[in-house]
Amino acid sequence: MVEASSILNAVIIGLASGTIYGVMALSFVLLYRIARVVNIAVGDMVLLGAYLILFFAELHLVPNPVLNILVAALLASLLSVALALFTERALFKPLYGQPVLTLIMMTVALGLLLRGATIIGWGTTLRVFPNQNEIWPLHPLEIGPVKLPYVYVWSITGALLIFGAFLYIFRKTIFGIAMRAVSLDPEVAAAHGITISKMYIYSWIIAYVAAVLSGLILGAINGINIIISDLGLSRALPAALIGGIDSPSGALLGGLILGLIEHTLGTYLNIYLPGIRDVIPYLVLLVVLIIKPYGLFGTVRIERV
Amino acid sequence: MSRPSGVFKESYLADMGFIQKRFHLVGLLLLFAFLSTLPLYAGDFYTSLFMLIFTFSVAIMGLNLLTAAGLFSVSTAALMGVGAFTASFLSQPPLSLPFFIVIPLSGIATMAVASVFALPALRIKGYYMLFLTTATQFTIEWILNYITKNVPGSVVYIAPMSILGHEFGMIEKYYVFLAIATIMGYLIAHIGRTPLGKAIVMIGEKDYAAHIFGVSPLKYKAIAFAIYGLYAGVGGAMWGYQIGLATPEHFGFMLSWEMLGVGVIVGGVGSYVWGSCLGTVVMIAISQGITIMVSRLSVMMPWLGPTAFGLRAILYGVIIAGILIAEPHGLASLLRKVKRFFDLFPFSY
Repeated sequence: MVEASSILNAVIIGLASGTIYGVMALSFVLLYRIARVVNIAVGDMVLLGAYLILFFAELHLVPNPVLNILVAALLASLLSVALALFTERALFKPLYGQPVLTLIMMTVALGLLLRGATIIGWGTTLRVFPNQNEIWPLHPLEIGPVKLPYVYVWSITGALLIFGAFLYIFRKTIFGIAMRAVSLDPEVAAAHGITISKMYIYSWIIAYVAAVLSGLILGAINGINIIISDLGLSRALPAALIGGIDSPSGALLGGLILGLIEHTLGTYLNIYLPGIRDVIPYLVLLVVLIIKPYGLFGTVRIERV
Repeated sequence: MSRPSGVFKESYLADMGFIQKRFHLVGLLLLFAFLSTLPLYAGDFYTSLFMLIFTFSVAIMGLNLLTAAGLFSVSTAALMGVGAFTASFLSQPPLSLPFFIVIPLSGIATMAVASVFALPALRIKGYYMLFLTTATQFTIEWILNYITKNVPGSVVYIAPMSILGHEFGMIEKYYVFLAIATIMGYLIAHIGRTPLGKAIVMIGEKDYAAHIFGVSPLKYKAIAFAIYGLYAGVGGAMWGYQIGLATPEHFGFMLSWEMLGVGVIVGGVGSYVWGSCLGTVVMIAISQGITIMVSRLSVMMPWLGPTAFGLRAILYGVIIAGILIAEPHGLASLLRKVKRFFDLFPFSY
């Protein structure tokens, strides 16, 4: 017999971890929507982010552990901006206008490069952030019957901040309107004086920063290891597709749904079929593709002869 | 297809022939002479390398047909895994079937698995297929993992190839593989020129236009998927017979990408036999070349130690990125240019 409070707990934790899946899915969705790049390397970007934050955290720039990790995350985001510039200019600029599959192959190459770099740079042993237990205390935050580990509190706050900032920029500012114009029709946008290549760079920067910051949470939950790469892909891709591949707010919803299913149904089934929790996002994706191929909020492509 | 001036096709039979130019006939004869005598003078390394090429050629032929139908798939490796695991189940003691029954049966079993996972594919197209097949790949990988967990040693074994108690050596196995690859290649080349093959290509070009012409996209997508599953299963069974054992780690996501990105795209979509063989040769050459390079480099740089396989990923990434930037349409277009140059030799058009 499963107690009601433990179900409630599982639901809350599922939703909390869903927020971080939403951020990873945002990275994926944005890149698709603006630059039409289907980013298979999203998991490797998250992996690199976790290791970059680890690298800066181990420098101990600030004595306070909480501030230290925040400074490390900031520095890692700044470095990822440079990486985004390199990726866009060196790898993807020569390929715009090519078929979608060519661009996807390039993201596969990018993923291999990032993964190889992290393996050579940091090895394959499991690492944790320095003073992890001081940053995220072991005893969970108790709100009534719900026990929420502190990592998830960070995850919720961070995801809300990222999504809030992003949606504000995307909906309200001139810059965001320019981005949406490019995603709607690049040629018309160019005719109205928007520099498309700049928009591509910005979308890569936002995608990189979102992925790198979600590396902080994933690294804290699972430990920092090469496994994050597969984990990131297996959460970002289904979450993005459940919400609809070109809908940023759908990404958050997809992440929440995915987290919920993983922590309730996945945990329950895991007792009988060990390891199914890792593939449950893909099973959900298979079901969604049968029922609603373009996701909950995705644009349905209608083709007429 | 470019043809030199003065070459005419006077009957439909001539237009549909496999061998259209003297170059093809000579090339084919030379190739068969080379392949059928190879194990006599080449060492074990090259013989096994060519067996690997035959194995992957078969799997990539099916993938090439599927790609021609406009369905990109990155679950080939997982389906090969299904083939290898079925071969293990059929060839081991409780059943102990001989190899010439095991290989077709594993193909058919994989065909069934592929058809089940193809159901969602019938509603979607293009790169959405990549997401679907990513999901398929990881789901099948998990199922294979689940099976191996209950097996001692987490490895399934495939009984050695034998007939009437006589166990096959390397050279005999090589000829069996050559025969299978030839048969499968002939079959798919034949499918390519039947109404079925034309319908599949039409679906790939524009499926809604095909629908208006009375070609049901649903039906032919399902058929393409079934053929793809069959070829992947046969390839997987061959792989199992060559290596002798199988674990899910052998059939990873990256292998699927290699097969689609290098095996099919480099070889050229729609060229079922020659394109697939060429793509496989390039794929195996790149992966073997990288293995050799990494082993040399890790001798030179001992501080790399166990992280040397990161170098492998980086080298692979650099090669793919380099090919894409230099020749975005793949090596196939380069090859086409070369072929055109020689076809029309003294003149440029």
